[in-house]
Amino acid sequence: MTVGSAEEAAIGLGDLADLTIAIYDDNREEALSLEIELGDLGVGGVVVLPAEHRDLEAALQAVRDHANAAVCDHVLRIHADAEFSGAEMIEGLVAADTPGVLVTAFAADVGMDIRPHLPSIPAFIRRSQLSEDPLIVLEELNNCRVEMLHGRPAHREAFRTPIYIERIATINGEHALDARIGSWQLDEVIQFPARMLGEHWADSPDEAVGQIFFAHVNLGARKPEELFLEQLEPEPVDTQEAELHFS
Amino acid sequence: MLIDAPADPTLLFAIKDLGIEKFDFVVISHRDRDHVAGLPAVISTQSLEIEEIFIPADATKNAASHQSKSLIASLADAKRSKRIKVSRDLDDAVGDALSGGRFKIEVLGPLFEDAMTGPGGVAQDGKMISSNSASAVIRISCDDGGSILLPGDADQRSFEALEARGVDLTADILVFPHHGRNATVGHERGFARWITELVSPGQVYFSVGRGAIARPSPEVLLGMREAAPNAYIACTQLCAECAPEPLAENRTIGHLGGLPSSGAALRTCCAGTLHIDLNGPSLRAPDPREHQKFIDAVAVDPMCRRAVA
Repeated sequence: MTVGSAEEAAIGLGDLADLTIAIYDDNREEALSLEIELGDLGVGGVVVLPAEHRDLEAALQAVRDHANAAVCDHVLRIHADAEFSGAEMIEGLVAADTPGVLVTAFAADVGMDIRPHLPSIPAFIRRSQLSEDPLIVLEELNNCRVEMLHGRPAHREAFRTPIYIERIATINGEHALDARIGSWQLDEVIQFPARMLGEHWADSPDEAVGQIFFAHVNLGARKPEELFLEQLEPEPVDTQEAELHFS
Repeated sequence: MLIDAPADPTLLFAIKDLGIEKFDFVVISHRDRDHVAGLPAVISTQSLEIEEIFIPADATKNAASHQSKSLIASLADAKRSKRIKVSRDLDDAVGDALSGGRFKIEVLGPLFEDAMTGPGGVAQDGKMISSNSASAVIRISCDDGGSILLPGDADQRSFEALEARGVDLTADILVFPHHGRNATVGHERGFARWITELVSPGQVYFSVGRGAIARPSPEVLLGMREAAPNAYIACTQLCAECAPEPLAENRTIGHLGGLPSSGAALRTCCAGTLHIDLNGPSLRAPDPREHQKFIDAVAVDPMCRRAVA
């Protein structure tokens, strides 16, 4: 099956024959399966790169040497010993003007590993979405390309808002914070690593519970996994009011 | 002037699309979360200038909840960093002090004596004051133009108090209180008829989401239409009572104006965000004819057209 011209136009990537997508996944079987599916969609070139690099820069160079777009699996340490994640790879590729889509299979990774990189990752999908319809790769690559050209779309536009830290947990040996986002879906809790608050709070994450922080958040996100937090800061202290206290 | 702030990004997007960089006043009618939960982001957005916020105190709200903590922290931050004046004095004693230019903005309710007690307290008539009965009731009028009444979630007690005081509530446009439902279940039709008679509007709008509970309620629509049979009616989103399914994927939503609308992405908008011109007064967007075509296309049994028995 090939994608017709109308579908190409809808996807927005232009001539699919000019597109070469690198697949970077430490699970070779998954990578080969996706290679076949993308080829069936009419993509000009699909290259399965061996996920053999320990160093991020080397991996980025390998993608750029062979392709003009990429699909990266997030966890690259199961079948290989990469010292970087797929999220870091996509962040690096986007910074170097190469569109990329992140694929993740594990929900826990979204909050802890991926959220810190989400401001710079325009497109990520779940492994299950990929299985249902591989066309989503092309749609998300186009979303990535559009954001690189024109800036963030409405659902990724960030607004400053308060964040209430509700609980602390330990995920894969790391401190995780459960938080409520002001002016967003009030019944939803999102999780992020305590290290995002900075050195002091990473060392004493218990102290953050019950505290308010402020951050720039993409409040147009529909799901918790789409939310990112930028410019996190503790609630400012009103020094002027403090000066009014009499001894 | 901004009146109320739901936790819906549509508000932030609309402020941006309209090119608004400053509000002279932000008024929160009452402290229910569907009216105030969007305020933290509005006032924390550093690019948006605000002169003064009117927000009532409310003893029925749990100050230890995460919503209250976020709200209070953002208000404190706004006072500190942007020097925004925060006032809790929102009652009929404010009168038309918020007016400016060609617009007269009147705070008709709550009455001063009820506001002095506040939600959670017992009023002089011995009745409990709820958040809704202390909701601000605001009328905006345009010189040589029309007027709109924005009663928030004001309930039967609020309107009884205003009527007893002889307050004139007439307006060309009514945004129906409490999203078209009233806590006095079983008496909704009579309540709606009475409110509509007090206001005598030519246009009635319902600010609603698409929840499991029908908003507006069928009984409210009937009562409202008994009192104002020729009024133009518009709901912001589709009620499941009117249209169990969203608009089909193969149909185009072409009636909305240029502003972002809640429900548009899920194809469950109805009139969407309303653009009202008080000079007429008239509805600039959506075009009423196109809005009616949309209802034809999606609604199985629209409440706004049901026969009034």
